[in-house]
Amino acid sequence: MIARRDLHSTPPLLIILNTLLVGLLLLPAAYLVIRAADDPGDAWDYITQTRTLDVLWNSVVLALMVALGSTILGVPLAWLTVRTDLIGRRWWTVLFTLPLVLPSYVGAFALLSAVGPSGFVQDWLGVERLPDIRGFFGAWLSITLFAFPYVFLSVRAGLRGLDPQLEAASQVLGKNPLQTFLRITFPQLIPSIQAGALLTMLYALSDFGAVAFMRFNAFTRVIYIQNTQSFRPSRVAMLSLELVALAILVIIVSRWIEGNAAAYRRQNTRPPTRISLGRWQIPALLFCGMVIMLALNAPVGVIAYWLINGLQTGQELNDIFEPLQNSMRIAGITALVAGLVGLPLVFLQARFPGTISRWLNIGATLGFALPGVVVAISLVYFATRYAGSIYQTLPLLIFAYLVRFLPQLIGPLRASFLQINPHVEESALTLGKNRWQVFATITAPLIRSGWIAGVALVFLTVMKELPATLILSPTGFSTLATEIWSATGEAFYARAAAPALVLVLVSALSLIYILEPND
Amino acid sequence: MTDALICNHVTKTFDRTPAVTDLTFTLPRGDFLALLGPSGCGKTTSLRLIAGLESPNSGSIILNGKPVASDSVWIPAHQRKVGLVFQDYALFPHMNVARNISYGLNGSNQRQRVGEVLELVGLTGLEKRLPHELSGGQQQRVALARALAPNPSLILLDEPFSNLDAGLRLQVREEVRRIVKEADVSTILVTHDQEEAFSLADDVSVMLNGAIVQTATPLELYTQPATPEIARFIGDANLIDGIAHGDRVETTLGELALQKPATGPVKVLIRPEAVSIHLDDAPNAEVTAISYFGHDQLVTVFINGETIQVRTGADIRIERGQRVRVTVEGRVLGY
Repeated sequence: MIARRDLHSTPPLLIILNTLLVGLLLLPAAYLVIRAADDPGDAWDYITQTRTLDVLWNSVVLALMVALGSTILGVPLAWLTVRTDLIGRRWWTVLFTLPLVLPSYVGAFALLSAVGPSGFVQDWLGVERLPDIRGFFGAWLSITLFAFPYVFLSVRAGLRGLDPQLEAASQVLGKNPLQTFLRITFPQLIPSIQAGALLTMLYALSDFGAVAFMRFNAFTRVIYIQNTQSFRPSRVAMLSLELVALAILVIIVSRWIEGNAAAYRRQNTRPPTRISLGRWQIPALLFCGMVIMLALNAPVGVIAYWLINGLQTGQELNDIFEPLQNSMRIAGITALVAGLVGLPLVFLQARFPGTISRWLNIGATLGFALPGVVVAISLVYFATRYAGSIYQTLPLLIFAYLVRFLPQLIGPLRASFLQINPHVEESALTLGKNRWQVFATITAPLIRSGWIAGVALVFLTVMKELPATLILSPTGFSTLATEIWSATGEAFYARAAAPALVLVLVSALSLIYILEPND
Repeated sequence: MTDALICNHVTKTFDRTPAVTDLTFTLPRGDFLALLGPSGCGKTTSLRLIAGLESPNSGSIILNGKPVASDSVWIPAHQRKVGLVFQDYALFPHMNVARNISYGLNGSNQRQRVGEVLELVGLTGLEKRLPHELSGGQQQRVALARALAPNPSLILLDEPFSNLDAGLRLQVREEVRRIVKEADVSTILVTHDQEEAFSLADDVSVMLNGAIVQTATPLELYTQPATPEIARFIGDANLIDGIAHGDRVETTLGELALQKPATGPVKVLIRPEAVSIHLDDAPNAEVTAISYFGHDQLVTVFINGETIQVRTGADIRIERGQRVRVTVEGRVLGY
């Protein structure tokens, strides 16, 4: 039986290549386990101390409250833009997506520099001292305001995918619109809400900038401080592992909820029916305006205020060119490398589904559960012990970004692979082209927009990344993010304004490529 | 002259589920063969095996006298030069009509060939259109033109008419038959529609449960089905019990003439149109249901404990419950 070929079996070379890639991506997580095992007794005692358990509690509450806040904002906004005759709903849709480009630390910086202890609002109001927003409230607010678009976008997609005939059927069966919403529409939206809420929770768990600025003792801040102050790597590694475990738990629980919420999806070409808001138009517009005011106008306005303030007091603007160049360069390189590395991973998963490709995919997407500070610290430990020469070099920094952000590319790329009708590729085969020619002439052009969206998404998130950049950057290498961090840390708000504004602008531009394929 | 295609006991199993258990037939050069069977019988898998998109577990496939799949040979799809038209057409969405059609062409004169096949399918002038700008019927003809362009010796059509609405289907069917005959290419059409298979094909292979059970002309298949299962699948069939004595058979409808002599208990096939209804005063049956079609009607009658279907002219006025006399004309087939 030498000539028999199983055309559906996975090419061995592809498996080997992917196993090597995933092995590399798993290195930071695996090395944390090794370091935590240096002194496991002490590390265990440390994370079971009351003070450390408080950190766990803080992070859990922050993640849950961010998810709740994002849902309370995101679901009504999605419903208003998809299912009602809200005035200017297209514009609102774009506006509600834009907060994604604001890093939480820029938001935190804006909030702090406005209503914080040395902010300008205090002076304007002429009060001695505003209530301190630092701590839980400040961290929660600055994360929720920039994370809610995840729920908004996910629920929006869910609402658009609903079959309007189901609602019609419910009404014909004698249910009023409210009953129909509660019993037909809402249950079908649960998977979308859950998917969006999961992203906001992971955002909250891995966010470093906002909790650091707001001095809220969540995991990331404590890990960062412990890393600079204590000399017990096993403790820091154990604390990091606890955070990773928490993130994985969040993912598992949310998958479990998803599995239980059966939703019937189908390709839907029928436009959704819109509800006339009538006299509710004004309150709806006010609500939308208020959200945009808080999430967009206020932070950008505050930054602009500091920029003008700085210019008037002789702040130099050309300081930002080097950080801008550095940011664009590392983000660009990482995005391209991710685009190359992501192709074989997604190709295996989309074309040869099975046990091996499923496990490789789980390995490749573990980055979702690895906060930047955790990846960076693991790589610092690894490099200082085994490979001192790569410590504080750009390749190591870019590798850290890849571990963390490659999963973001996998989603859109996989979707565009799965959208290709397999018969299209098979037709090309029967027309005399071999597999490589088919990939070059048929598959590649058809996945292009998904690939670009994924690459742009990686670019955007690397631009915004703060903790790994702080920990792993070569000495003297400054990016927009690290500039904002150092200036704000010293309360030089005016100096932070220009890089913040430039960062927001570049991010907003890259968003065009991310959103284009969907709308 | 070598045959266009020979399949010898080809089998294919997916995850222990047999899809094709015995694919055996011969397609003479220039012939139009229909592969007819109910959904899930393995027709599409058969096409994919012939095209080289699946590899068989055993058996051999011989294309123009050259083995392409056997125990010792494997020629992949892109080297087989077999044209395939999918049910969903599978046009390349990012290429216009001309680029779709020239995709399988090499060398010079591509433009000329595109023009030729476009003329053949009657779509001259649509070169620059993108697939989504075409109607369903046009997309289908582009798919056919694309498959024909590299001059394949064999073309495979997978349920090509099922995505068209009824009115268009008849017209496109005739069109496709003309095109493949004009292109002088051997053709296999996969379909579950008996009328489609009969009206288009020179020969019909009936596939049931993964195996080809009979290959014959439409006329032979209808009048001489090899087994009662085939008889039941092809057209309407009354199968009743009888006792054969040589060339006569005793049934509840009386003594009938047999096509082939037999002895002992047999199953007797009586096509509904072989039964006649008479409205005289010697009734032997009762009408239990009537389906009126306009060009004819299908009447169900109850006679001596047996339910029989009768196809009769549209102009006879019959009512349910009416007593009528039924007789069988001609010779019947016994199994």
